[in-house]
Amino acid sequence: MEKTDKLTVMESWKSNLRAWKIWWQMCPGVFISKFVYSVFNAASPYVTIYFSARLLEELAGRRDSEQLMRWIILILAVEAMRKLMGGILSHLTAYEQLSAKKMDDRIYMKKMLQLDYADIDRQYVYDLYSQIIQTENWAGWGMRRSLDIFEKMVCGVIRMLCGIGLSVSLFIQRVPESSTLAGLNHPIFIVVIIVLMLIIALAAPACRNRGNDYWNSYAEEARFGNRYFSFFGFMSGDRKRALDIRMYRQQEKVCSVYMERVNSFGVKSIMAKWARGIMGFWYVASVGVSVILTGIVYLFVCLKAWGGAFGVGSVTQYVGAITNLFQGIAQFIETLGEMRANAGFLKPCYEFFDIPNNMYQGSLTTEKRSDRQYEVEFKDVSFKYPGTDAWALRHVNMKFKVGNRLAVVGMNGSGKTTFIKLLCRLYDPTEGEILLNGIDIRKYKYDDYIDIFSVVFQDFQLMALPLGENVAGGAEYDEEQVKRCLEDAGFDKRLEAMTAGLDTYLYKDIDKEGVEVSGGEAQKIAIARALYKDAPFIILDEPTAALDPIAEAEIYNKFNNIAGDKTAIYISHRLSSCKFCDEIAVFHEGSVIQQGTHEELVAEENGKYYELWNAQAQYYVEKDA
Amino acid sequence: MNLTIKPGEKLAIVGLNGAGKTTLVKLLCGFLDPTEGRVLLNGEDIRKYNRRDYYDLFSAVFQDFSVLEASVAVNVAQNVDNIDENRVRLCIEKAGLTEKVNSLPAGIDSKIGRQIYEDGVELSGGQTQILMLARALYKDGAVLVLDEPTAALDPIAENDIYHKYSEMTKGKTSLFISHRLASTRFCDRILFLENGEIAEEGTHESLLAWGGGYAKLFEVQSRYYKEGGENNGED
Repeated sequence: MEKTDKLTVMESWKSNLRAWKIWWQMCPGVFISKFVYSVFNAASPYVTIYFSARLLEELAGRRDSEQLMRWIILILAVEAMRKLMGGILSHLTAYEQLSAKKMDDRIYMKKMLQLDYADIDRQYVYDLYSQIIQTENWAGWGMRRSLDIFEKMVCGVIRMLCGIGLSVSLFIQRVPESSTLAGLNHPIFIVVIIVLMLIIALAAPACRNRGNDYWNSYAEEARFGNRYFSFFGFMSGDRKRALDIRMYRQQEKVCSVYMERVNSFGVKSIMAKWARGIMGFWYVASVGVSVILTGIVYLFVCLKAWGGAFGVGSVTQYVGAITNLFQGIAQFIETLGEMRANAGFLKPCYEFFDIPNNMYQGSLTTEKRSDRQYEVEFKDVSFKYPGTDAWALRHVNMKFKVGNRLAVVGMNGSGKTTFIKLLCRLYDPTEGEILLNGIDIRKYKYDDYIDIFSVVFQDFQLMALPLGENVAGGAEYDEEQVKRCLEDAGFDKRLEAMTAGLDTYLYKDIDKEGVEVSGGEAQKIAIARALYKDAPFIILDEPTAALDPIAEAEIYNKFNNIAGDKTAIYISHRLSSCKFCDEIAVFHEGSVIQQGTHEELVAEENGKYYELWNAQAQYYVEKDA
Repeated sequence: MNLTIKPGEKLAIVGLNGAGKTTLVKLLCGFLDPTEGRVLLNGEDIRKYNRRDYYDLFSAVFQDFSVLEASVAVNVAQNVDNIDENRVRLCIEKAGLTEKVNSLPAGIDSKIGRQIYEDGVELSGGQTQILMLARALYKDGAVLVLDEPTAALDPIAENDIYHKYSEMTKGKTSLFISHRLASTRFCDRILFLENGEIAEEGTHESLLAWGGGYAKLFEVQSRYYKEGGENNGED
């Protein structure tokens, strides 16, 4: 079990303070409403205590019916006001709280968008984020809990102050000297009682915090259990898995078995054992100690009242005030304990927020050229993915001729997609440099640099938004241009069939009249999107993987329209595409082993290209007898 | 649609997107019931059988698959206990993933996926597809169904699958659905589907001679592999 780090009070305080500052910037209303509500909640019981005490005193004393009436009416009025105020404040606080809950994701998403791609792709960063989310889902620890802590802290402090205010007089008011209990007036009593009450008031939360420590130390196991449950518990709801689940009886043979065995939260788990045992003991002790405290308070107050120091009404006042006071102390101390625990869980959050941006520091702007003469060159580029030992690219030298069509081929894992990622500056080379018009691309402003590329990746995403917006990548667009791009991508017939045209929503997430597009149709839309951007470089990574031969041939036919005068890079397993490219680069184990036209490469019968080409072509070309 | 599949037959199903290939497969495997007509197993309407028991007859690799967050062995055997490790290794060998699996730190006990285990391995799309093939082989169902099983594979790996096809399907009835008409060479009979019907049926040679939809599809696909083929596109 992981032990949450034992931080000092100062460190815990600073940690939670930082969380509060972050929340304050996003959602100040939460703090204001929580503060007001807490003050209200802490103070209002005392109002009741005070007035009830006066009423009881009157009942025990003169019993003047008019005075009683006045007190009763006052109490009723005050209660009504209290409830009303309470209702309003609770409503406001709930609203702010819910707003904050939505903002909660925003903090992380903002950071994600700012991160260098190289960091997003790193397993460590993904694991860190995953850990943060899991902890939040498990018991709300982290950023969310810091808000609760604020509320409890304010509540505790106000309660203490009010409690002190109302109970000071308990110690001051003296038992008449004539009474047998006059000894209670002796200062030593006061000191002893106060010390005793303080000890107990501190002991109760201390016990509770000990119990909580067990809960917190379970974090790692709890996260693991949740991960298990998140996968196996919801797997059967995933539509894509439906066929396999039935065909291979996955639910009975694997899922159920695992769900039964991984028992982080079940009756037989360690947590349950602790809850029944040691944890339970500490919680019970905490409550028991509180009850003892209440008993002592009653004893002292009643004795003094018996002795004649004050009337019956005041008894309820003092008992109420003191119990509240010590509950306030208890709450305060418990909150300190919670702060400490939370600081431990906030650590990964801050680690995440503090990930630096290393990559996009360049400041040169790319010159806007209407002649599209952008020359990109790889100079002896080698690359290793961060945290791995194997070279993904080795000594790659490539000059992209402007307006050229380059086909990139090679076996799976040979470095083709890595090559593209480096070209788009999603990663920086480990060795060597990439130049744009002779200048290292790191010197350019990233946004400017990326503007010269239009890319269709293998795992592209379309959004559940109108078709026109998907193609244009924005809410405002040139309709004619969008239609032209869709036509060039071979989507025109499908577009005609859409009654709402470019305003048709894709998918049903937002608009229930939205259309589901097949894999092939989605690919065409993605191509249209790349065309709309109209960048000097266009990169297509396996763009016909989901298309049938006729649709694929359409794309090939339109390739002239698609590539136009751009510099085009076409990655594909279907080597037939090499025929209409000007040049082919063959990747193998991270290096470019062959480069040339199709005719040149296919003539090299010992080469990799020949092997790849033949593996496919043999079924389509009738060999001469 | 009328179709009789003989035991041990190797059938190829081809056609454009939306022609009904996957729907046919779903009806065959019993995932869907026909609106009219019947699906028969050895002359009996399959609705008479317990549907889950009926599924047991089939080993399939569909286009969407369900990889589990568990070890390679569990994924292949689809069992938590009682895994025949030798058989697992054999099936991985047959499918062509031995080298990759041996390179993993814990071999067949290495965990796939990182949703649960933080030290799990992520396989590439092609490797996952081959793993699913190994799973189908382990189940050893009487009917092997492969729906676009080489979509994510490079030409060499794809060719590998074709060459191993007869070994993989020995003693089984098999269905191979694909766009890539190269695969049809390895099958006894080809069905060309169009608009939900079997438009053409025969061997590769007979269909080419017929000169219908299949022949056209083949011509379109082979165009660029032929000498001077790229110029035909301009016509």
